[in-house]
Amino acid sequence: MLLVGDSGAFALGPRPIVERLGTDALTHEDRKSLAREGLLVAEEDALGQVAHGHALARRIGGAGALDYLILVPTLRCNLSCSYCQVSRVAEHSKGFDWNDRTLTAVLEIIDALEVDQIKIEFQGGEPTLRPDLIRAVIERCERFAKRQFVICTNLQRLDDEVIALFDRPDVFISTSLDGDVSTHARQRTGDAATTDTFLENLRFVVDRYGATKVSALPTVDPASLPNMDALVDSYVAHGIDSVFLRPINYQGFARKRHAEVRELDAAWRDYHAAFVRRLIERNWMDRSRVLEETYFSICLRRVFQPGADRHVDLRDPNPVGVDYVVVDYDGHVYPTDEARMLTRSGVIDLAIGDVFQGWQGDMRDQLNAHATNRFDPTCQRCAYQPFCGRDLIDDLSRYGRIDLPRHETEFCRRHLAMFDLVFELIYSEEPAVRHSLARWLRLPGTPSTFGAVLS
Amino acid sequence: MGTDQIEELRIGAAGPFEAALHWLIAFHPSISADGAEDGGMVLRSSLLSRSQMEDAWACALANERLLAGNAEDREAVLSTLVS
Repeated sequence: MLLVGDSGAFALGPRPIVERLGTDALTHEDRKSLAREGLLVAEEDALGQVAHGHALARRIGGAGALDYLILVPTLRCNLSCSYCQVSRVAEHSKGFDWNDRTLTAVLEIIDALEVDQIKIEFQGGEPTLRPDLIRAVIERCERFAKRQFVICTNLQRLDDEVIALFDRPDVFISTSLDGDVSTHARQRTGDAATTDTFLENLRFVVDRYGATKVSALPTVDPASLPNMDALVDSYVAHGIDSVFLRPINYQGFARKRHAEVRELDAAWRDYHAAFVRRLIERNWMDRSRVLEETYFSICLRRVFQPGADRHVDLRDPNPVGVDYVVVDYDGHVYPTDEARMLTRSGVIDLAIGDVFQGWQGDMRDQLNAHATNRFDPTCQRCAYQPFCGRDLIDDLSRYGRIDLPRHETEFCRRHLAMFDLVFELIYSEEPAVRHSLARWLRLPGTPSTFGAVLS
Repeated sequence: MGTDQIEELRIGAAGPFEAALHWLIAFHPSISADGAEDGGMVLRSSLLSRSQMEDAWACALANERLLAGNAEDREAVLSTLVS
């Protein structure tokens, strides 16, 4: 049985220890072994108490000052995917780009940031339709000691202006690759010529910049799960080793056209688990490269390396509108990209303000009063609470409320299955499993064990 | 898992018994609970084995005792950290 403390310390223990915990009948030996694994701190152990407090604080972390902006300079797009994750309008529509006033306000926000590092993600629409706006923002960020810009693009059109942006060492490229040619064409590009253009451009940027600068995500239709090896091979063919297996999101336009994805079922979870196991097999067969499924790796690192990833969809507490915000084409500010999609879909208006008047108001504070799982009665009884998170927007999207018992939500079911798999693999004795876990944790070697077992 | 027969587990009414029972059934809807003549309870499930029910009951009881045992101190510390 898995025992987990508030700070995320964990160990497997036999049922009798758990029974003695439940009846206040721990033996001296029980206490010693629990203390050894950080699962029990004696009242007289002052150093142990401080260490536990430190571990707990590190686990809980906290959102810092605003240093992460997701910017939507245009809502226009030159593709029309059936499940578009973001709301979009046709390429030649009018009135869906930042105007001068919006750009000025965004630049003033950047000027006012009291941080020395910044990350900006350009989303859309297709942001490369307005390279001038991207350039204006990037040039305004020269004062930051550390800068990272991610341009999320469909790579359908590369011209000199866009390539000049990509050439910057602080610019990274994120795109979508849904699998083999036929899958990508069916789900995104629609025809062979458009697909060929995308694949040529993807090849161009990978060859020019190397795979470390280019990331790609597949959007997977749970109703039509792709062949795992074919999907992985399509990434490997472009030198990309990380696959973020992402089901169609129940947001934006996908909500209307793929209503069945509100609840991901066991088939999806089984597919994901099988996908991770397949990567483990392939990593063992060919140890010259490390394939990984990004979200599994994020969850794994949540167990061992709290704070290693700044993945804002899985953290606790998960306040909105504090350390990151989304600025839409019209200057409205949203807590997350999903909130923007929900608003565009007409489900609920989740704008928390705008770039002209700010967003530090009641709306944000009301949401943030519920931004932690620490006091949720269901989560308090879950072994995975220290590793898991809270996603208010996901709950609002699926159920229109945030007060459902946690174990009745898709978020909970998905992460229960995810962490079940994480811990199953942590306690696996197979060398192939330990090899992949070590690589996904970025360890230099491979430990003989990843988790303690109480005797 | 998936046994054809209904497995039973007798549990005593000790410790934070009612809360443990509430959450056990919330997390494992296949378990039903009936009163026994000795004041204890009988848990039944057609999906879980007896061993799985024993594990689940041990967890539920331990969780409730630990949560109740230091609820105020714990909440105070966590509130500070979360805020």
